[in-house]
Amino acid sequence: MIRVRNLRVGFGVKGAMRAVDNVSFHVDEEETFGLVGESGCGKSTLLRVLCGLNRNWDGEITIAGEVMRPERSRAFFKSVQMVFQDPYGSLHPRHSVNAMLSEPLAIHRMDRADARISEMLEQVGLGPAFRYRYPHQLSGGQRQRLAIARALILEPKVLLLDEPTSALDVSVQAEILNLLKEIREIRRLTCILVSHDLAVISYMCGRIGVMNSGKILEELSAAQLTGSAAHHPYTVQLLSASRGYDHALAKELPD
Amino acid sequence: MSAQLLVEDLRVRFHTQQRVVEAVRGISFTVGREKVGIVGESGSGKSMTARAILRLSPPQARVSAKTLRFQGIDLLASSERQMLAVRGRRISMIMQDPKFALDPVMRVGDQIAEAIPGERRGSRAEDRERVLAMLDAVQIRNPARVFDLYPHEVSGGMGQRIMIAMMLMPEPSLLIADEPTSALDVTVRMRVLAILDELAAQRDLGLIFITHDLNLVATFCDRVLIMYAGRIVEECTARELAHAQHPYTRGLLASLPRLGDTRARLPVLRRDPEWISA
Amino acid sequence: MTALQGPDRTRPINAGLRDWLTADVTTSPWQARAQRVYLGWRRLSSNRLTMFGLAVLLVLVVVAALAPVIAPEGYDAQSLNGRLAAPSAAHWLGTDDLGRDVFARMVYGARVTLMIACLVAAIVAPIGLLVGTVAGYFGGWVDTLLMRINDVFLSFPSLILALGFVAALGPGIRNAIIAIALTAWPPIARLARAETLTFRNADYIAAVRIQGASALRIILRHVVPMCLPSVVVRITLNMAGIIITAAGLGFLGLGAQPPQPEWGSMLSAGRAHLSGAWWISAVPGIAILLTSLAFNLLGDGLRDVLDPRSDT
Repeated sequence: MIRVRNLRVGFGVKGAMRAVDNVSFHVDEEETFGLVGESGCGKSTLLRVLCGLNRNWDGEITIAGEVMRPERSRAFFKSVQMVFQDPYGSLHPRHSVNAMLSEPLAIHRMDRADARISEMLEQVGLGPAFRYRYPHQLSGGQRQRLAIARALILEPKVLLLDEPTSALDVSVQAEILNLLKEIREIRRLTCILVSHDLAVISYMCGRIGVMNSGKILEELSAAQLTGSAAHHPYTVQLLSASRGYDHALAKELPD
Repeated sequence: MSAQLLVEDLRVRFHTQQRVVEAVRGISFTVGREKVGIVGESGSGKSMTARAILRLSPPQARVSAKTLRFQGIDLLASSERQMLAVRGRRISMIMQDPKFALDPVMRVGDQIAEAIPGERRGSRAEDRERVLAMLDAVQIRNPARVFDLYPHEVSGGMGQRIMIAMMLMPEPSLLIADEPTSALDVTVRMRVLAILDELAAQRDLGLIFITHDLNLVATFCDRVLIMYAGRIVEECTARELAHAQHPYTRGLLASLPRLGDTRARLPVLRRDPEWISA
Repeated sequence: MTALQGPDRTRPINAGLRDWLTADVTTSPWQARAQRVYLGWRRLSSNRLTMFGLAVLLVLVVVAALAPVIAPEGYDAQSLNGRLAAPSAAHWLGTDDLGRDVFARMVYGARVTLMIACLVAAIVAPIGLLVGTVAGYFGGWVDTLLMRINDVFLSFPSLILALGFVAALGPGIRNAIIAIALTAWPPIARLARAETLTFRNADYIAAVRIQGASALRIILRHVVPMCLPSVVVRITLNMAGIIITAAGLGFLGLGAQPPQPEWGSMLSAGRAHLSGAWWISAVPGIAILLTSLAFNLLGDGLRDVLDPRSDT
């Protein structure tokens, strides 16, 4: 479904710094591919290139058989959507829930707008009572549900998720992860999930890529991640750090 | 272990136009020379508790307690002048994001030197030596170079170590850390915690570690307090956390995804209104 | 909030409206918007100084609208016998050097002042917003071009530029309005651009870009609503300056032409009689002062209510 080959994204003078350094991977249909890494590793940049926000890239990207160019068509935006990390920053403070959901429908001239909005709100667990509310009247979890609704109302085939639960409380995270699982099953979505949280990634994804400094160091399945398959040293480091604090192990980490 | 900090029935209230909001509803705990973790989600009152101890609550807040005593000093009855001798000197606080907690227009070394209490200051050269020694203690590799840097020139992990250095300069006996590692990457977090761990042991410090990360307190702290809606719903040692009693803690632990989790759905925490009134 | 215990026939109506405005569940976009406006109004009306400013402006509008009713004899009725008369029952604020009633001229002068203020605001707001948001959103050469044009206008002191323009095109209210507008739009554009820059890279703008929205839609529906509060406040606060600039032009004889009353020209005409008939200058002077003050107070209050940062 998604195939990326030799993707390079540079910034700085003459692209001297590589945010994404020759990355290649593929995602099959209805699969959820995870990208895990620490801040600055390039995973978010990669997502932004895929969804069409970042146009300064080199390489080859193929989505659903179509080769991508830096400029994306309107039809592309209907088939690939993204959920952003910060529920407090990804919703326009002055637009009501209704306005936010009817806008994409208006842009793509889709019919039955009213019905679609009601159905979408039900599906993400927000009832009709929320329809005319404003973002500041919603909690973090509710806002993220709305962000998911907004992404899905165009009925995309691919959903990109940039740390969708990192800014949420632990108890809310479980709800949102359950919702995502349910929705991707019902709608048969292909997903790429980016996170720094190994537990979330291994829970949600079938295959995982470990990124550092713009490169994918290792690709493995969720089972391999938690098993004892041979790992890249960085992956091992991430794994041990995510198990909680251990004084002896912590001392061995490089500075 | 004798308690340094004794808190009994602490309450923090905000009086707004319509009603009274109780951010902290009568909590009691003690802290000795140990690492105590306070865990809670947003709105649980954990940060308010920390600020109330240091009398740094927002001006609209009303703090009351049956007892709020630190090393024999009654913190509630102290005047502002008396509190100045406590804050930063005997109780220090580390905040979450060093980018916002460090002065952006002062060099890092000068900021740390500022933290040396007035009566212990020497000449510029002497102070500089002490700062360099402290930077070394937080395992910064090139202290002389870092001394002259500005906060925007240091990474997150180093910034946090600088904060720790700054907060430990006056040699306090209690350190309050409010989400000190939440903004850091996971591997950097481990390094910073290791440094904090060692320093706390070396200097026999008490540490109050405030976070939302259950996993972290279970492995880093000695004792854990779980807060919900302004109350402490559970108090246990870190080792016992897995066998927690209160339904909120159990619900929280169950809803966390784990490596190798095979559950189809994560159990969602069901909030019982009883927990607020109990 | 205590419920009003009025007669039964009025209570249901009041309570019904208030319930509708404070209901937790909104069922239509209009209700949601009305609620926001209502909440904003509650906040605004809690500020006494702001309400004073608003009251003064409302009085001004009413007076201007009802000028023929309040001063039926018109602003032009000369009476050379009764010139320079002190305030009395017949002439509430005295007469000027041509025997015209100062009160009537002040009332009709309010029309001129309001017209200038409103028309300038109506011209400056859209132009400033458009230029500023386009420059801020696109960046690059568009930004540079627009901002250099902006700088050219900004570098002129407003009164001097207005003078030059009016001198070139001839005096009169219409040219005065255009001249003042020319100098009033640059700060608005700068403000709109600065606001746009702060959230241009925000996630909510990115989200609508990846829906395939055109730049026009993004600017009009997403960028402008975020800039609007600051621009409204700024224009309200600048209104005082606009009124004073208009009065200045009038003072120099380049605004409204005689016999049309305009506060600035009235002030100027009264200069020769300051020691004797002080009311000829004092009345329009106080009117200018009060109006400017009222706009300032209203602008301050609006800023407290409309600041998007305090909204979350």
